[in-house]
Amino acid sequence: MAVYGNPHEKERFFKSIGMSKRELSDALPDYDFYLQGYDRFHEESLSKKIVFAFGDAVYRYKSKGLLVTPHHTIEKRENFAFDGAVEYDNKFSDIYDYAIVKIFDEKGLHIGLVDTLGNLHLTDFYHNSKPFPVDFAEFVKKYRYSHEGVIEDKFLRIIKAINPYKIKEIKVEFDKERYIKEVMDSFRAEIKNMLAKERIIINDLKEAFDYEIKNLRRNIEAERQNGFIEGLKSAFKLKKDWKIEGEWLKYTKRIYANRVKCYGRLYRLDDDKKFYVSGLRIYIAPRIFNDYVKCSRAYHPNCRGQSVCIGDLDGKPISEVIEKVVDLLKTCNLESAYDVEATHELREAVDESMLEEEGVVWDVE
Amino acid sequence: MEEVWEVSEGNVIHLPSGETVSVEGEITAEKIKEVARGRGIKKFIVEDEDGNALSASDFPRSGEVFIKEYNEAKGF
Repeated sequence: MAVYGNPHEKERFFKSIGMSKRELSDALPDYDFYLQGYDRFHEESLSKKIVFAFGDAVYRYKSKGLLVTPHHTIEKRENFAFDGAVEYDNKFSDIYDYAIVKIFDEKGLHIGLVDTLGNLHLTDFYHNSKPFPVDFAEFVKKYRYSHEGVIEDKFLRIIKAINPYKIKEIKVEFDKERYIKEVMDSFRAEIKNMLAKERIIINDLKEAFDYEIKNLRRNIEAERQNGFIEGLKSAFKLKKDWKIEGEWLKYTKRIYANRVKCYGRLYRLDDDKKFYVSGLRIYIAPRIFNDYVKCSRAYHPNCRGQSVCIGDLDGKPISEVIEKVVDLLKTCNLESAYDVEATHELREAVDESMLEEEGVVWDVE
Repeated sequence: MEEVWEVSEGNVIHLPSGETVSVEGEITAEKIKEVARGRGIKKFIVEDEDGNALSASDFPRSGEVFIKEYNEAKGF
């Protein structure tokens, strides 16, 4: 069992159903749950039943062509007493045609549906952590239908049509042939109907793909515009102390450390410019990792050879790294330093109280 | 009570974003933490007007203080 959703959604979900993850897993081990806002779909879920609670993954699920349209006679409507305690957001319009069971409350409001694969789609019932009004696991189990069940139901009706007792009643060969013809015609009509439904599915799939493509185009355009804006902002900041050299951004000034941090305390460094980083350069990429930052020379505990360890900025966007890396290197961090001469010298200075203490790093985490 | 001022004067906390928070009475360590927490700043250095780093024991105090976001370099 897995529950997909961001931590806040999960917290509200578990609070609403009044169960822990462990309890839910014990009660419904062969289910996966997709909560609101979670739009990734996991292939491994195909072997399980899925409960979508206002989950966006249903779009991907639908676009993969995993749903079939049931015969209209199979559809069931069930009413469930909820006493108006559930949030009735309707997010079923895209999958409504695939429902074998539509679940309503006593007032006729739509609570959920079961699709042809037996997956349960529910409203945003856990909004504001409202308690689910009945036993959640029992409710989910109540709507355990299977695709196979639907097929069985469909064939059962056909078999019933060819009732052996009815066949026995046919005395004349002509009547028997006519009866078989009627059954065959009925069967052909059924097949024709199924093919027509398939065409609808194909159209639905096309719509779903078009929708996805449109969304992707919109997102790409938005990202491009944001990137352009970020680029403009960075360029204005850069023009003063940075220049571009090939694939690299180079800081044109030498950075002098003015503080040391050791065991949470800060020490002031003499103004003799002894600890420095020279020729700092950053490989131009959307996000910056330690390997992308180099220097030409340094006498600094957090640099070795050409390597510069940017610590907290590792993996951050380039705009943020450019803005903060110089300040970062102005403080020598002895709590996580390379085994280099500069580290030894500063450790000795701290141990022998040769440096003036001047405050602490404040931490409100 | 706190309010945002265009021009800093009196007892003022300066934030990394350039925003300033005017404080009634002396600035306390708790006030600094409250302001930082409210802006999502988790690790920071507090400096006085001359750029000297301050500890909680330097508070309460009057004047202007500067909250500077602290990012840490590492070596391994």
